Amino acid sequence: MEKKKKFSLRLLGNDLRKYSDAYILVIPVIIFYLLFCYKPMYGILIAFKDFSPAAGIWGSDWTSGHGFQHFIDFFQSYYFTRILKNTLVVSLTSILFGFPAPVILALLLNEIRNEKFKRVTQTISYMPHFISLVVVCSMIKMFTSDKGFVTYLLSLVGGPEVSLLTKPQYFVPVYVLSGIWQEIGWGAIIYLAALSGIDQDLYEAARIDGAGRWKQTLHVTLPGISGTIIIMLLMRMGNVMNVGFEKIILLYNDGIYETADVISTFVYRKGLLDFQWSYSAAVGIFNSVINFIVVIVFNRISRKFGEVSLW
Amino acid sequence: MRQSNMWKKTAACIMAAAMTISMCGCGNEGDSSITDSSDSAGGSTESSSTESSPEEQEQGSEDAGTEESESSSSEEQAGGITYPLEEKVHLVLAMVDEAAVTANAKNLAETPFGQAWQEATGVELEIMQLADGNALNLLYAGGDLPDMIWMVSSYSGGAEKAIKDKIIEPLNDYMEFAPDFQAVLDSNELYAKSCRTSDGKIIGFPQIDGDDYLLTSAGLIIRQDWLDDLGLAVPQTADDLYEALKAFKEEKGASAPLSTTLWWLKDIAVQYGLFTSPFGLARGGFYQVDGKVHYGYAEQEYKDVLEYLHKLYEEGLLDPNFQSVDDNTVKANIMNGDTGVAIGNTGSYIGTMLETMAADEPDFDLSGFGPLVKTAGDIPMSTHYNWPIQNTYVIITPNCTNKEAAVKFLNYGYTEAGHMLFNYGIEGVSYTMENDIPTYTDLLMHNPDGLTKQLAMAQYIRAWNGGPFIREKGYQLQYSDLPQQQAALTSWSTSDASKYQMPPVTVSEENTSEYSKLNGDISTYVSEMFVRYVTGLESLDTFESGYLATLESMNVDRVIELQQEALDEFNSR
Repeated sequence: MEKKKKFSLRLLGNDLRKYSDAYILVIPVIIFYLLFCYKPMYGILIAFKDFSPAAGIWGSDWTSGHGFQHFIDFFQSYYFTRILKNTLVVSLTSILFGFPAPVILALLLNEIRNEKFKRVTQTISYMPHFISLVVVCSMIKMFTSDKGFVTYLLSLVGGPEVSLLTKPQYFVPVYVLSGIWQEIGWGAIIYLAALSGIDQDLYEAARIDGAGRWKQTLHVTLPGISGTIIIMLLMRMGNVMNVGFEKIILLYNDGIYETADVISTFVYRKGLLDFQWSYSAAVGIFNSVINFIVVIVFNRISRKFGEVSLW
Repeated sequence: MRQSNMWKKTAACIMAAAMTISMCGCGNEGDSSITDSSDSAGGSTESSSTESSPEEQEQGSEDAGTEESESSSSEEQAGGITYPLEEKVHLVLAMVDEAAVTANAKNLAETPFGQAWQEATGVELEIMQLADGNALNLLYAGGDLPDMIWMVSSYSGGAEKAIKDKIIEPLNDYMEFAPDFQAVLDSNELYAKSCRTSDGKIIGFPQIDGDDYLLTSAGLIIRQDWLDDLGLAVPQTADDLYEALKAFKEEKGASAPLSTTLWWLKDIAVQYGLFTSPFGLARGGFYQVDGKVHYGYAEQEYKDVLEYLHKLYEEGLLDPNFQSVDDNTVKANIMNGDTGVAIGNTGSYIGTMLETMAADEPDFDLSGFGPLVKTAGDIPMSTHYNWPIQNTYVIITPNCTNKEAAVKFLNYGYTEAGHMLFNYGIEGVSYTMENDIPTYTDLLMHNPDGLTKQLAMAQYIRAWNGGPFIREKGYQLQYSDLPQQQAALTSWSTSDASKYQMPPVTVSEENTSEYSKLNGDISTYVSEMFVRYVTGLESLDTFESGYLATLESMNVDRVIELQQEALDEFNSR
C-alpha cells in the first residue's frame, strides 16, 4: 500500500487547482449527501425529546432520564427481547441461506455452455425482482394459504394443510425462501459479471494440470470472485438489523407477531400508527447503532483475514 | 446501501412534504391493505382510533325534524351567514383519498357535490389529497398544515393533545361565524358534550348521525336459503350458531362455514360484543356499567368467549385462514357456497352479494342476525353501536389563512340548504321531492353509466361517508332499500348497547403520553393473544396465569383508571 500523504489544506488547495473539473463534477453528489443524508440526522434529536409538531424539533422538551427516557422505556418494554431476537433470527437466517444462493446460481450458470438456455434461465430467475412487492406478497400469501400450491406440495410429504402464515414456526422459512426466490437471479448478475473477468488462461493452466470441472471451480472460479463476494457480504452485514420491513408488514398478522415482529415493524407501528414519534425514533436509533457496530466489526475481521475491506 | 431507520423516517417526512406540493399520493400501498381492512371505500384507519367503525362507508342519517328546523330558524333569527360569501376565498382542505370518490373524479372538489358546495358558499376549495391514513399522520408530524383537515380517526392522544400540538384550532372564538352549527349544539346536550374537550374547547365540525337508526351498521350475516333448506331457524344463541355451522358443514359441504377477516372478527364482532352476551360479557374493549369502566379483554368472562371461538376453529367451523383473508375472499366464499356465516355490513356485504347473485342463483338469500344471546328471546347486551358523534371531524388548523371564512364554509353543512346538499345532493339532479320526501333519482339508484349506488352517491352527496353535517335516516332507508338489508338493520340494532357503550371521552392532556404508551402495548398484546387463543397456539389454561397476569404487569389497571377519570369528567360536563 502506498504511503499515505498527510492531509493538509495546502495539499487540498493544490489538488483543487489540479483537478478542478473533477471537483466540480462531484459537487452535486456532495450536496445530495449533505441534504438528504446529513441534514435529516438533525431529526435524531427527537429521540431524546418529547416531540410535539407544534414546538418543532428544537423547541420540544427533553425527556426525563437525561433525555434517555425513551431508550429506558424500550429496554424495559415487554417486547424488547422478543423483537430483538426476531430481528436477529430473521436477518441472520436470510444471510445464511439467502447470501450464498446467488453465488451458487452464478456458478451453475457459468458452467452452462448452451447460451440460449443460459439466457432463458437467467431471465426467468430474475423476473420476480421486478414485480412490485405488494403483488409478490399477495402471491406468497396465496401460495401458502391452506389451499395454496406450496402448502399442497408440503402436504404430499406429510406437511399440515393449514395456511402457513398463521403458524409462527413457518414465518421465517416462508420469509427467507420467498426472499431467495425473489432475489436470486438479480443477485447473481453481479457475480456473473465478476466471473466474466476471470482470466481464461487460468482455466487452461488448471486443465493442463489435470483439474476437472469441480477442481476448476474450487481453485480458479471461486478465488477469482472472492473479492466481490466479501464486499457483498460486508455490505449485507451492514444491514443485518434492517430486515425488509415492508415485506414483513405485508406478510405478518397479529397471530404470528411472536416470530414475525421485528424492530422496524415495531418502529412503524409505534411511530406511524400510534404517533409516538419520539419513542419510535429512539428504537430506530438503537437499530442503527447496532448496524453500525456490526459493520465495523465485520470490516475489522475481513481486513485482518483477507485483503478486502470497505475501508 | 440502505440507510438507517431515522433516515427512512425523515425521508418519509420529506415525502409527505413532497406530496403536499405535488399532491401525488404515493403513500404506502402495502400498509393500507393492512390497516384499512374496512373494505373498499372510505379512508378509515381503524388502528389508531379507539373505536373502529365499519359503517364509514355506508351509513346514512337523519334527524331532519328537530335539529334541522331549529338550525334553519336560527339562521334567520341570528341574521345567519349570507351565502355565497362576499369575499373570494381560497381554502385548502386535506383529506384522505376516498376510493369511491376518486374512482370517477380527480378529487372531492371536482365532483358535482364539491362543485355545488363551492358554488353555494363562494369558496374556492382546493383538496390536498392524502393517499391514506399514514399520509395524514405524516402531515401531522410534518407541521406544515393546510387550512382545514378532514379527520377520519381520532388523533392519537386525543383532541386535547391535538390542540396542544397545534394541529387543531379550537372553534370557541369563532362560533359567531357558525350560527347554524351553534344552533345544533344548543339543541342537543349530547352533541354539545361530545364535540368538546375536557376544558370546554370545541374541537371542530363533526359528522353527526342524527338518528338511532344510523348508529348500527354491522352484524352477523347468514345464508338464509341454506337455513330454509335445512329447516333451521335463524340462530339466536351461541349453541344455535354452533348447530347451524355444523349443519352447513355436514349437509351443505361448506369448507369454512364461518368465514371472516381478523378485523371483522376481533375489532367488530368481539370488540362490540356480537359474540359475548351469551357468556355474560358486554363486549371487548372499554365499556361501562353504571359509570364504572371495565376492560372487556381483561374480564374473566372473556375466557369463555375465546373458548367458544376456539371450539369453532378447532372443529373447522371457523375459516382457518381468518387471519389472512380479505373481504373479497370472504364474499367469494359465501357466494361459492364455502361459507354460510360472515360478519359484515348492509351495503358492501349484503347488498353487493345479493345484487351479484341475483341473476345466477335466484334462490341465494341472506339475512342479518344476532348479536348472540344467552337464551332465545333475550335482549343482547351490546351490538355494533356508535355514538352520534364519533371521530370524524373537519377541523381548522392554526395555520389557516382565513379562519373566519373557513368557519363559515364549514358551517354550511348545518344550514338548511347545506343539509339537503350533503344528504341528498342537488334537487332535480340527484333527488326529487316525492310527497315531501326527498327521493334519490335513478342517477344514484340505478346509474345509467352502470355505477354502483355507492360510486354514484360518492359523486353527488356526502351521506354515504360522512362529513360536517347531520346525517339523515332517509339516506340509509334508500341506500339499504332491500328488505333483507332493512331486516338486518332491525336485528342488529336491538340491544342494550347504550347502557354499556363508553361515550366519546378524552383522556386528559397531561396523561395522554402515559396512556398511549400503556394502551399501545396492551392492545397489541390483546390482539396477538386473541389470535393465539382462538387458533389454539396457546392453551386457554394459561388464561389466568399467563394472559391476565401479563395484562396486570402491563399496568392495565392504570389504563382503566385513566379511562375512568375521563368518563367521570365527561359525565360531569
